[in-house]
Amino acid sequence: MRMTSSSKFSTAPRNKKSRRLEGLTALAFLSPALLLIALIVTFPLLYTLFQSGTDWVLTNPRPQQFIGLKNYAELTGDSRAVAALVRTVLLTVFSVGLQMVLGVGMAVVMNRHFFRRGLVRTLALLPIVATPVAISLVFVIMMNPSSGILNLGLKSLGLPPLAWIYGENTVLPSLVLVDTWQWTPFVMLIALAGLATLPSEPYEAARIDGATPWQTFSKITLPLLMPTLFVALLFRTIDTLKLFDTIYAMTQGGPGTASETVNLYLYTLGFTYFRMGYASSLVIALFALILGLALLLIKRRRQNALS
Amino acid sequence: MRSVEVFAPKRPPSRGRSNRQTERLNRALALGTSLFFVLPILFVFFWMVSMSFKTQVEISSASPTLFPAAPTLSWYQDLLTRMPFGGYFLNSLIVGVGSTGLGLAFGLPAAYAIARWKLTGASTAVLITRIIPAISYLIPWFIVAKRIGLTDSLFLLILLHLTVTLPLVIWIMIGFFEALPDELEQAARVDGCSTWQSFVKIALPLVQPGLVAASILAFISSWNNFLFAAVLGGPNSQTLPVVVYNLLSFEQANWGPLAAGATLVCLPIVLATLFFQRYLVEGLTAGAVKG
Amino acid sequence: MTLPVSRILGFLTLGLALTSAAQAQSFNWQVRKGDTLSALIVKSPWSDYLQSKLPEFEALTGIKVNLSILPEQQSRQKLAIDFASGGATTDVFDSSLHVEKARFIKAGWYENLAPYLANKQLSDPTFRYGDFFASGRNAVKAADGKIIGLPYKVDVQVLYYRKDLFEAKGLKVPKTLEEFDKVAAALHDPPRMYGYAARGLKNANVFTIAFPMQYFKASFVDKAGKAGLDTSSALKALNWYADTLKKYAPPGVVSYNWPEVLGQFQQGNLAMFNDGIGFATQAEDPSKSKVAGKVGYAILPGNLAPSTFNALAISPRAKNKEAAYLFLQWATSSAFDKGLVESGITAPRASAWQKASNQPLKTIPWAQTYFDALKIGKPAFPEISAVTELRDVFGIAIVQTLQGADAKGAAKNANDQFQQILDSTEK
Repeated sequence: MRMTSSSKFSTAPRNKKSRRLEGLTALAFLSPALLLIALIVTFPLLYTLFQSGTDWVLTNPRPQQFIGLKNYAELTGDSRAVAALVRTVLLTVFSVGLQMVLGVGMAVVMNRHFFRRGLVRTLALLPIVATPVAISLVFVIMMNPSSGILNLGLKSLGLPPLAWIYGENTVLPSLVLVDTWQWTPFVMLIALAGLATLPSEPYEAARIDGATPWQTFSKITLPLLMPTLFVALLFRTIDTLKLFDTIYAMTQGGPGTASETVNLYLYTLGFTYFRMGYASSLVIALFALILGLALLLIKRRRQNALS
Repeated sequence: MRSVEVFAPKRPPSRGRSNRQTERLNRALALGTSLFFVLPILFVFFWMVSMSFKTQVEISSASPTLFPAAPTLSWYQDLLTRMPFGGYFLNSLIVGVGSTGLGLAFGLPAAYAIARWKLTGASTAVLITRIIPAISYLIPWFIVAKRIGLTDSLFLLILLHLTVTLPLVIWIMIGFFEALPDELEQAARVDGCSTWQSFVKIALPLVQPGLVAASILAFISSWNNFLFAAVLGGPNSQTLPVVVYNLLSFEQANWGPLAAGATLVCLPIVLATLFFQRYLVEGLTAGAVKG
Repeated sequence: MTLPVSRILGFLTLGLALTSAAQAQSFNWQVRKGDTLSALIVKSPWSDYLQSKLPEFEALTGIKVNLSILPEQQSRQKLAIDFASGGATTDVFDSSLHVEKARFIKAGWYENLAPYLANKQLSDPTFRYGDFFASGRNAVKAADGKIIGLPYKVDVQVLYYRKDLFEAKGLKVPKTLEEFDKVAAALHDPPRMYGYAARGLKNANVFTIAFPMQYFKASFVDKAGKAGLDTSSALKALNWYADTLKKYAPPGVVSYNWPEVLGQFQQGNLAMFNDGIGFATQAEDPSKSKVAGKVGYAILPGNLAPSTFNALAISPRAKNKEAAYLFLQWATSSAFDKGLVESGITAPRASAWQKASNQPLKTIPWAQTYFDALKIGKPAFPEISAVTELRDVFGIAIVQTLQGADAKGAAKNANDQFQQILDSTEK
């Protein structure tokens, strides 16, 4: 995110005419992409916004009517939606939190020792690029309570079997596990890249001062790494709040509604109950939520950077 | 040109006995961490591939084995003959190449403009497109597609996948364009190059690693996409992730074909990763690290 | 010289006889030659058979068919999207009447087939609509007399059990729930053998709970149209279902749909389960089932057989309705259904069972049970628009009860939500 971007281009135009020409050129470069984005992104968003004010039900032959903010009112009283929101937040906090901690931890440890970096780097990429639906289904097989390899492995260690995605108390942690498996390497890669650019003077000074590894890490490494980690945090938060493929493929929101996040409930509202108007209002609400959170994070980051 | 060094140079030489102990501890820690990291990753892929070669009896056995005792190709044969897996593969390929190509065509100039003229507003707008839940694209797009006769077409999927690839390309490339030293641009200007010429002749060749990274990551995002084809795909426009998902929900615990299907879906990506790992890492970490 | 009247009459009669015979033989399947059709079908053994026979249809009629076979939920969602955006992507579709009938009738998504049946040009005289089981014919009839589809499957719930285990322990097929419990307990020996399992997965589980619901005479919706999920009889059903599964089913049953239940049975780990008869072929398939040949089939305790119905229907916006009708007719014809039975798949025609060359009543182990069940079968679900919502809402209550929640609270919750849904959809 180019928040504190240093100007790399100092060929600023000198007079009004060339400035205008610059502006037009910029526009020319940008407009194809902007047009496309307007078409394929903005139009659906506006359409959804419009739809959120209607009572459109796909299977109802009666023409839809504009009902203003009634859908949003219903949303605030919809206990299923509120529960979905809570689950979404829980899932995101734990999953992203775990990924950040594990990712940074692993990066720090592996950075200190010269290792088979090509191999590790390649392996780190695999979970990130693998098809989420395919991997999720492999996990479903592995998490089968009676014949899945995970429970059989637990059994061989003398541990009791777990319900994994089949128990209402274990399904969210299981999803956290799968999401963490897939995305911790992403955080690790970014952290490693960040670590590589850290200056060595502070470390020298710390060594001379006799700082413990933990002190070095918490007082020097971590603060210097923050800007880099921030991007990882932002992207992971946005993506996990919207997580769909993994949950849909593994549990469809079940057992019952134990893993029904906002996105899953949205899908059910629209494509199983066919309540398009109501579903649209939830889409807008979700979008506003994520946007708000993202802007909050960015603002926080800007404040930190300035201080 | 910023190069992303993922690993730091060697540590300074250690001194003294306590340092040797710390050294050994660090080695052990590093080894332990890498195992902790490597094993779970490898295991899932290994299990998937291994299962795809096991017979049904082995798969449902209560005491599973790591390697198939009597490896069979039947699941793969099943997939390739019983369903037009090859056709679906081709669909995914066409949509991937199409949406990546278009993403590059539209995204490169945009990224260049944003980097060159520091258009943070536009870059924020690109970030925002990443936030929109994909579901909100479905119905409006389907209605439009119906009106213009585009349903059940790969072209529709290409357009929908653009909602993912275009922002991705722009995002990644902004970082690479920004890293270009402005002396080059200045020199070009002095030589009388227009902005377009400077973009094509100077900037683009220099960001080739970024191009490779962006292309591959965009292609992978398209390849992995599930929702669009799942809801809006028709008989002629199914992509692989949907096909693989259907394998599970069809018959009883059909793990063999599922493992085979999953392996086939992941195969091109794994190969691309093995060949282009350097670029992928650069692309993924672009925008995070200040060079 | 004039011919005597009797001679003339004789010639006329002969002429008429010859003409009608000629008509019967010369029904022209090729009246819509060159048309193209799209059909959206739900994946099942029936769809597998259809797919294998499709080239015959194309050769017979000269009509090209684009067949799309998808899992149930996905096909329903595609259909909805197609219809809602005013589309005509699908000409022929597979309708799960027990879920969709009321809703789709209300939405006007079924083309009335009565005129087609009467249309001599399109209607094969050997079709014999009356040959369909009465329950099937009933299922495709709308309240106003319209015929909304042609039935292709009538499925009934039966009890599947391991007859070899029953024999070994001298057990008899249970006729009451008390006997049922005793039998399950006698055979229950985890982890090798579980006494009973059934669908636990939300939405799917409401199909199998229809059995205890009918046993305790509970209805999802009472005669006045009010939600009945928390009545005392519904609670009895809910408690029985959850308790019995908790006692005798494998862990993880809360997420079992029919594939998982069937899978356990095929692996030889399950003594009894209830589900649609349509899965019997898979239970008897030696390449998939370790217990093929050891399976017993029986009417459920209480003499019950909750039923579901599937039909082929035509979209009112289809471009090729006549070609579509020819397809429907072919895929539900006596010949086709006879072939189904010969392949071990259920067909909703009496003649198919009587005329099938493999003498199904003698050679197919579940055929007799199927017929007996058909006689007493009652629809598993009420005829309302919001069947999916009912199945979700009540399904969640079942899951909660299975996981230890209080049945009364869960049922009341579900009932309140369901009543709200009924109020808004059944207007």
